[in-house]
Amino acid sequence: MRRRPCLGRHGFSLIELLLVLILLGLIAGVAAPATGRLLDQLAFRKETGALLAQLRAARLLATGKGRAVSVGITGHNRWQTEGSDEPQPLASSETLAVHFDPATITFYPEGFATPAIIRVSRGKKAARFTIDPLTGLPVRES
Amino acid sequence: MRPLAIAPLNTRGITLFELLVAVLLLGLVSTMIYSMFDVSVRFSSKGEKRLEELAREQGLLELIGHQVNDAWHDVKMRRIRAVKKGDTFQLYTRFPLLHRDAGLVLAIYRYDEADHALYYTEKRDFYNADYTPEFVPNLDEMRLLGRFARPLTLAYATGSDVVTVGFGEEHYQFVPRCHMEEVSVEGLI
Repeated sequence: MRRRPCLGRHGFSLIELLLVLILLGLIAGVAAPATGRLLDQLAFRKETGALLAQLRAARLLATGKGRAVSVGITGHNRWQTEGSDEPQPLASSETLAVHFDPATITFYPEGFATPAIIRVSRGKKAARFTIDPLTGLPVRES
Repeated sequence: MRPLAIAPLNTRGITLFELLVAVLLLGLVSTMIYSMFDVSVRFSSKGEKRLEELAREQGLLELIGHQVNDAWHDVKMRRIRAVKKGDTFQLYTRFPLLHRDAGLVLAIYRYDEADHALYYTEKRDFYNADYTPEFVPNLDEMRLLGRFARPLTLAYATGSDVVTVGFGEEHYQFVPRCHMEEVSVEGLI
């Protein structure tokens, strides 16, 4: 005689399985591009953060050493000059497009800096910062 | 034939109603936690903004302090060369901000009251006859020095040679170094 399965122990039907697979596929389809965008955004933030850290370090160097420190950009390459020394290369990113207006920003020992606008972009992502001349610190604008 | 087995009470699982109540409670708790977190983040960013504003105000006071200290002292007139007309303040100083290598410059401040913004420019050719006390540069030719939360006032008293910077109700006075030396010498005599 065939045994009847107990109620609640009869497993999944093919329809249920397919339905679950379709739902999982839909969720993955929505989540994958969003994850890509998130990773892209994180990489942009990381590279922008590195640039701002270089500017803060230059300000700190100027106030700490008591001499003017300039940071400039030529193409994709960033450089730094202490006083009248030769320019030293700074770590730069190939993928991040950076534009300084004016091309050189100078930080002074008193904590001041020459006013400047910094535009950063990577693909469709873009951000704008200003160098506050009274504090010498970068301020995010958009 | 065996009768259908009825599951014991403790293995029956949960009803849809119980699940909904649990989800509702979770939602309420998470909303409360989120609102607490949001309030703390808002307070923190407000504090950060206030700190930035204070640093900017302090920076302006330091800059003007340096410029007044190193202002060009006219020996014949026995006073520094500074003018305050309308929203413009001019000062001949040996402490430039934009052209450090220039030596003596004419520093010009202009305050946009509507925007609470202070603009600044420097003239290396300070000897140019165009820069009369009435000279007012266009704002688009000047650099934005900063926007301030409190209304800013810049004043210069010709008689005492004192430059006053005010943020709201607070006022700070700057006396040129040449006058401080005079005071100390007189004090000694």
